[in-house]
Amino acid sequence: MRLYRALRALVVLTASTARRLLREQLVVRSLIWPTLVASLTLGLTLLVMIWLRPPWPEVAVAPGTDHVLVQALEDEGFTTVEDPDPGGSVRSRRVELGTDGRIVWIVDGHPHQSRFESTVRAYRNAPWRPVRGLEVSIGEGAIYGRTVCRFLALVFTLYGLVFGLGGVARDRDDGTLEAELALPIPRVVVGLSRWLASALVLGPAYALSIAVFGALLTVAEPLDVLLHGAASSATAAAIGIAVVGTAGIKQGFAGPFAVGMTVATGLAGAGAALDLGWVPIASLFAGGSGVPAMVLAGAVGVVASLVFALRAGRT
Amino acid sequence: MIRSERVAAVARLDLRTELKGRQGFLLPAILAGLLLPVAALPDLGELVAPREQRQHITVYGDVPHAVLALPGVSVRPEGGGQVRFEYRDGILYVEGPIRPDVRAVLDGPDSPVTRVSVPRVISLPQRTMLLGLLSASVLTGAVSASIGGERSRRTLVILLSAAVARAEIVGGKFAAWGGLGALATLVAAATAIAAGHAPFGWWLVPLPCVPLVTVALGLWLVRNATDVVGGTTTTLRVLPVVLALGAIVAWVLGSVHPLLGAAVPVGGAVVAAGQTWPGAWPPLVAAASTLALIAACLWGTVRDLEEAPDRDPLERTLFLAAGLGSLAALLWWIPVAVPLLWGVAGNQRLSDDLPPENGILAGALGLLAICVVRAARATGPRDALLLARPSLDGIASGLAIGVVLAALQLVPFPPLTDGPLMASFSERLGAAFHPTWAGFAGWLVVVADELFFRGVLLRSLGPLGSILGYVIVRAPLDPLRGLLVGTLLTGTAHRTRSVWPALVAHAVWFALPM
Amino acid sequence: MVEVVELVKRFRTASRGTVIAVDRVTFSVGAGEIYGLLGPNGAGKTTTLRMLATLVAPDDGRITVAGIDGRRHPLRVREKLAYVPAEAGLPERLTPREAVTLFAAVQGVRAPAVAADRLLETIGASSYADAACGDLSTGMKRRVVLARALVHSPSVLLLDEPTDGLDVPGRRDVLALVRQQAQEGRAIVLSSHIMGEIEQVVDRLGVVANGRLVAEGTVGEVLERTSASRLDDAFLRLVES
Repeated sequence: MRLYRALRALVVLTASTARRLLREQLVVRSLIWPTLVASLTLGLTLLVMIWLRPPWPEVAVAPGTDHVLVQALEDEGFTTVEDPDPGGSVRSRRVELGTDGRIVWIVDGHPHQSRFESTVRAYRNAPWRPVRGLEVSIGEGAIYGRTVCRFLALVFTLYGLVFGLGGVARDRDDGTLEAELALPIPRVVVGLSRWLASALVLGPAYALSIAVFGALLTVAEPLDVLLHGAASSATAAAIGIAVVGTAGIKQGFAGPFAVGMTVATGLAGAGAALDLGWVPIASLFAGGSGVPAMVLAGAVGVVASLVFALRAGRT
Repeated sequence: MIRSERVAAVARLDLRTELKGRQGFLLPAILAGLLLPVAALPDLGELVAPREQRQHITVYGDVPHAVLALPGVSVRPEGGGQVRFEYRDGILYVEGPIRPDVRAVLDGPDSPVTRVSVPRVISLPQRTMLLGLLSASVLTGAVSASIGGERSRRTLVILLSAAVARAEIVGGKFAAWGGLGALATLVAAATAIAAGHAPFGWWLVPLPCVPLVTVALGLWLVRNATDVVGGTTTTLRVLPVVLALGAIVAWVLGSVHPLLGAAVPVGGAVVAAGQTWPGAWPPLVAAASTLALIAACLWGTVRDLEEAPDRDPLERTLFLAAGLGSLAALLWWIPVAVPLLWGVAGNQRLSDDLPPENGILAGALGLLAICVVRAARATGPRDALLLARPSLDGIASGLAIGVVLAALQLVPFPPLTDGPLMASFSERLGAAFHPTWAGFAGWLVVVADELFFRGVLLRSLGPLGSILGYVIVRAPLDPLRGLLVGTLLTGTAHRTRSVWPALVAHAVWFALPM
Repeated sequence: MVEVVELVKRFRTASRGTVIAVDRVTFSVGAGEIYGLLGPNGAGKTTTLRMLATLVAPDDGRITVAGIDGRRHPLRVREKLAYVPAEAGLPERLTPREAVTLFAAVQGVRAPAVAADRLLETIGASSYADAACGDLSTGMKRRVVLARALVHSPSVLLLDEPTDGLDVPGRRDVLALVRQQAQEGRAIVLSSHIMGEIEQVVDRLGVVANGRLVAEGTVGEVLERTSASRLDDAFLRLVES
């Protein structure tokens, strides 16, 4: 009977906390902001690529270069310029492509380097030629999409921290927390409901981000990306609930927030350097299955709720 | 005329309020704990062996054995690797980044063509850039508490009614937190110089500007925040984007000319603090542009700071309506139609390979998210989505309308589009309008459409708004069909004051062709 | 000392359209006088006080405090007055001594620590001057709030529901402090909806209903005008008419 009451209270408190979160315009705007900005940036980049595609550049050719090669370069759209020292001109950056018919001088990373080199190699009947347009394959696109989604997960992680920590701090000040702690239910249920509410709001919002990028660029291993991101934001919410202690808005929010930020960013940094695929937040850049991280995030949430219950009882 | 002693008094009040006691000690401790190791410790790369994966490449296609034998090369038989090899008419075509050792193997001893690569000098910011960014990130919570927290503590009204000008209040808060951040970064910079990890130089000028501009921007962002949670969420979503995007834009422009990059406010200071550009002028210009932005933010905060921000309700309604409509349109147009732009941008392969179902799924999830938020914000969620239980008559009419819609699908409406791109748009949006693929995602579209157009929109903007919204978002290139479908579905929902008959109609329309 | 002439303030709301919160209110308060603003919730008392405190700009009318035009020189006016809102807060982790001293420095008081100590002594808060504000009772906090308001020796005191949330002894103490401030020559404008405290402490009162000043005078004059024997009845007759 007690267990049933506690579970029922958990469901009711979680739903009401989630509802309160969604009622804040700032919260809702924040949830869509990262996806919107990233999508619009991608869209703008596409527009820039469409309207500002660079013309074919100048190529320095040594005097006496076979006119067949010169013609082939011009047929490809390059503008050839006779230059007594094409190599020197490239090194001094007067031009970025140069050839004497046998040697090609290229400044690294030039967008037309493959086309230029391929033309010279074709003229010289070389057995292999580079081919590189501006085309990104869907496989590469999926990897880029996954990378973007991982960075978006970092933003959602910070949100988790704010929801967990700030929510408790604010409720402490306006009396809501006290009212909940006075209910005939275990205090851990109060902490658990806040953690669950944050996780349930952030997880689907992150899933929407992945869905949008899945449409724009595809995302490699989307389910694992989602699990890692959801685990990360849920863990950050747990960290927030655990570190808030007795702080309220009136008693100082900045200090506990800084602690939470440090723990979260420290985990992210450790994950980038080491391969911690099973530790939430750290696993964001490690890859692999997201299930271990999700399971551990759940455990962290429960532990954080227990810590919260212990500290809340002391006020 | 700003009185410096009042500014200092406000700053002292702010610092004392936030930093007193055991919890107040945390903030400076964390600043020190984060900045000093970055300043003093040797490069992490020297301590941690570089991971093998960094030099690894994946290859696929007709990969020569000699290339496969190279270390750090793995093959992806299913495709999708970084480098593709393909034989055509006896010539090997290599697509992707070619490592020097791979090139050497392909060239062999008697290559007819020799490539001489001239390295492109890319100036990368040094670790000192992190000092400014780290101190800025730690101060986010304090900045938000400075105004949002004061407002919720009911102490802001006391300050605003005191004999101190708003400029002095804002100046004091800026001095408190900006000063703390600037001091922390300069101490860390001095440590880095003493430890020999950074030279004494002009980069020290823009470095403290990074936490200063973060605080100024943060104060401006939270000037109307009613509490610290709302304020912190605002600063967290905007500041990292401004810092990161600004830095990227500044760095890219800086590769054209350093002064161009330095002129970018915020970003220029971030990059210049990383000793990216040599000489005195770029750091000085970066500091100047950032200080100008600081002044603008502080001026805006002073102008707008009120005890209880006044929001014009008419403006808010218009904004909400416009925002909702734009969001819904974006949710469909961006994921469904924008992928076509890849082809126009020069990547037809990506454009062809991106499945439209992904975009349709994203759009449906987005509409459902709007419905969930709307229901959460309403006092009566069922009423907000028109989820009232319908009569049997309503269900029957829904069934009938579903059959009519399925029949309408066979009627060829005149095309409005012209040109291959618009025809592609039309094809994709048509697939979204009436997805013919079965499964979870298709049914999700049915539910999302009805809850949003015949639930949220019908309830908020009436039948006309619902029909118009439906045509604009779902059938802009097939407006006649969209108008007919929208009218039938909206009509039945409006008549029965329930979304269920429209849901039944749409489900029948979706399922019948299958 | 305080002069308000034909003050008007309108607000636009989503649900009710344009609301005239303050409708051509006119009154004046002399030095050493306690003027009570009496009215039901939503009558316009707080809005009037906020305009006097230069927190809100009036749409029409004139405000003069100590001879200074409130609309043209709000900062100079704020030097002359102190505003204590209904739910004034305190920094929970600071002590009363710290809170009042720091605020005195913000107000530009010379020797703020000395001024704070003296005021805390006067107001009867010395015994808990070094306890954290968060640990104080409601009555103690209210005293500290008053001390903070008085630290720069204002000539005008604006008090919005000063006894809100206090018990009987607490209300008595606060009202005694208010009388003491008036005896020291301050002009005090006090808003309340509690008849008892108005009767006890004010010299003159103004009854506000729906943004309008419907009656003004001493308690006796208001009772006579409404032919009532108790202020409650007089108030109800004025408001409901």
